[in-house]
Amino acid sequence: MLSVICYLLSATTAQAITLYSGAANQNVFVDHTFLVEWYLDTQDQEVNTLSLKLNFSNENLEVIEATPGNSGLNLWIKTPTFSNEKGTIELIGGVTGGVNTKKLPIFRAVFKPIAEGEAKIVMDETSTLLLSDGVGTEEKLTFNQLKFEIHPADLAPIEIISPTHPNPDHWYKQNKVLIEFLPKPNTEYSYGFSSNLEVFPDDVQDAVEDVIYEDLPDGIYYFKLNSKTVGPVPWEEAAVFRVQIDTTPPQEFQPYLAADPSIFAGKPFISFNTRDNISGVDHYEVKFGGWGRWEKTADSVLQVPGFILGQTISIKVVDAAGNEQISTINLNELPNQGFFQKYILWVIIIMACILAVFGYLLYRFLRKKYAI
Amino acid sequence: MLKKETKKAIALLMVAMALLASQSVFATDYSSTNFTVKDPVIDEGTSSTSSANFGLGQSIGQLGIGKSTSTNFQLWSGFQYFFKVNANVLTATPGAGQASLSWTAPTTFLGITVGSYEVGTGTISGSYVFENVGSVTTFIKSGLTAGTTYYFIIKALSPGGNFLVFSNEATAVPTAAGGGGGGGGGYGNQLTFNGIAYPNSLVTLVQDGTIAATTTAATSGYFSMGLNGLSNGTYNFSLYAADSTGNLSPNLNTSRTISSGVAVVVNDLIIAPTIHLSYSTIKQGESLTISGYTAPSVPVTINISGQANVNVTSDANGYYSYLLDTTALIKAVYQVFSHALVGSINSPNSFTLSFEVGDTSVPTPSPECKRSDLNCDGWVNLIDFSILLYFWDDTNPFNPRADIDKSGKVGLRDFSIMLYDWTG
Repeated sequence: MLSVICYLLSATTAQAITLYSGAANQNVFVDHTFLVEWYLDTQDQEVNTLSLKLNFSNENLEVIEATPGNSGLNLWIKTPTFSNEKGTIELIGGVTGGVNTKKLPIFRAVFKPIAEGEAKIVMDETSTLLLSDGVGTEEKLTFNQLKFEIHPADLAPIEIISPTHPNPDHWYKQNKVLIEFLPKPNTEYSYGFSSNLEVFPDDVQDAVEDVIYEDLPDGIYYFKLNSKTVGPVPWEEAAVFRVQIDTTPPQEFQPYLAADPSIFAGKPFISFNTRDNISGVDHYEVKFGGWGRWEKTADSVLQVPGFILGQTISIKVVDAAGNEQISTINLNELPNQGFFQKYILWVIIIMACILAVFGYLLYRFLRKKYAI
Repeated sequence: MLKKETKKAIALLMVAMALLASQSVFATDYSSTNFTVKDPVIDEGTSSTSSANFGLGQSIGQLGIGKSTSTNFQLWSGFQYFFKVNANVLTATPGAGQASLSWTAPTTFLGITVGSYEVGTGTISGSYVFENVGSVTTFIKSGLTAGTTYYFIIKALSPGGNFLVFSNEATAVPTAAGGGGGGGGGYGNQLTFNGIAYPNSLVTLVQDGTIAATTTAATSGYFSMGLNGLSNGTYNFSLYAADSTGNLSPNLNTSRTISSGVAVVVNDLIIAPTIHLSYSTIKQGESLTISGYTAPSVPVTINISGQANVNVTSDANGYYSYLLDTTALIKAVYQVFSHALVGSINSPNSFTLSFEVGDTSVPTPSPECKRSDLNCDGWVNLIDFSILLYFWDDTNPFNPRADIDKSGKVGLRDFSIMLYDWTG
């Protein structure tokens, strides 16, 4: 069996703040996606701002997705974005108050190898880390390059499928997992299922049957299958299948409604932000007024339209598994709101009534006059 | 009938006894190098006073201090012999339809001991129903309604059942009883923060940038605040306190990972002192007051750049101050910050402030709005972040406050400073 060449960063001798990945021990094959999670070890220093740019070898590696996921960064100037054309992933984010930890989740990326060979991911020297010291002191950030040996697709291992969680790149609300694989003749199998990528199946043969795991807590799981031919030969990794479960809605949040003379020409705006601890925020939707329609928005700061039928603005946050959290803000909370905007609904109803009465009187007048 | 001489003798005896009775009895003075107690006997009392609600026993003259005991009695004698009991610390951790209470034993002085405790429970702060739980320091209060905020307090009693001291008030919101099965997202996890701020200060807990809870610290500076219903995951928390003048402490930050069914209690959080300077510029030779708030009655170290550290002690309200004579300081800009020693734990540093020694004195102005508070509403929150985003990468922005570091451009350093100043 092919083995992975994956150089992970180890702690550097100097106490430099370190970016590292949780990509250990993954076999990488052409057209088979794999997930890499990125973390920061702040080395006992309080940090609050990260501007990160990673360069990857785009001749044999593609990014399918880059998301904050369960990131510990809670405010974003730029959420993770990628360019397969340039071979870059970039983000700018921060932690309110600051943080000091050995494992701060930064973001997740799903890669797809597109050609065999060696792939590299390196950190661009423009990446910047700032301390949480009130003046934004820049601190050295280190990252040892990450290398993958990409194997040909025809060497891909045994196929594993999951009728309940078919796409390993997707997040599911379903927390009961069914795993199936087609065994080869004269082959023994041992498998394990863990949220820890470093956990491997034991050396005890398991029955070849559909495998069911129930009542699983939220998280990313790896079904690892080892195989060997019958007889006293060593076990080898046969396949790894990833399952992602999120049953929990994003965190509750409270949008802010405000107006400031310096932005949007002093007109009111709403601002919102929240986190999802498991799969991450996928997108926000906004609905202006009680009869409005939900519309996706890429911005977390929106100018309030001049006319809203109804006095509410609702924000819906949807995580990658489709769990939702809705928060509604009442426009009456905005100070100095004009009379017309405040009572627009009543104005419309009264005007409709007046029109109805006027129409009825006109009808009676015309009927009388022309004896209709 | 008594004889005339006998009557005279009795009369003389009664006069002599009356004279003796009207005089105080004086004992020998006692002293040390630091004090002298003169005539250490109190006048004899005459009687006790009482009503339906109270009793006042007056002191009786005693000739020396000490404790005498026998199988039948115990006598405490001496001059100004008052016992003292320090308040104990209560924490309450919510559970399914219950709250787990845990408290420290009060520290007692001069002989008094705690015999038992009463647990006070209520749904209104300051109003409790008490139940005696004996001589224990943990108790599970069950039969509580999920989702209701309960207030708890511990009353320490003497062996004779007399009231000694109240603990701080702690709160808990019990969760719904579990229905079995499970896994899932780990809803209902609890997280409790216990620590020391300043007496009666307002302590704020910020979770991932949003204010999640506030509480008022006890007169001891102690605070306890909890969050419930957290799903599994890693959270960033910041705590800060506002002193009685409205000055804020720096954020105290911690990151916690919450797992299913695990109640996390974070103890020994020490909030950094606040700090204030009476002048932003001080005329050389005049005096500058450096002051602030921290835990009560603790040593405070004031660090002035280029000068020897200054040690002062905070008072019972947590207030500390130092009058700095600037005669010996050269004309320059100085940085100053403080930190306190609370128990055996050093607090984080206060904010660092600057003052200039020059030719004139300029009082520290009351800030119209603080740094990073871009819309001047008193808070550094998502609205300010929105304004920063609006001007991101702008050179000389229309709103000059967005260029927080005054570098001429709105960029990463401004973002970092805003995150540092974040109040939620």
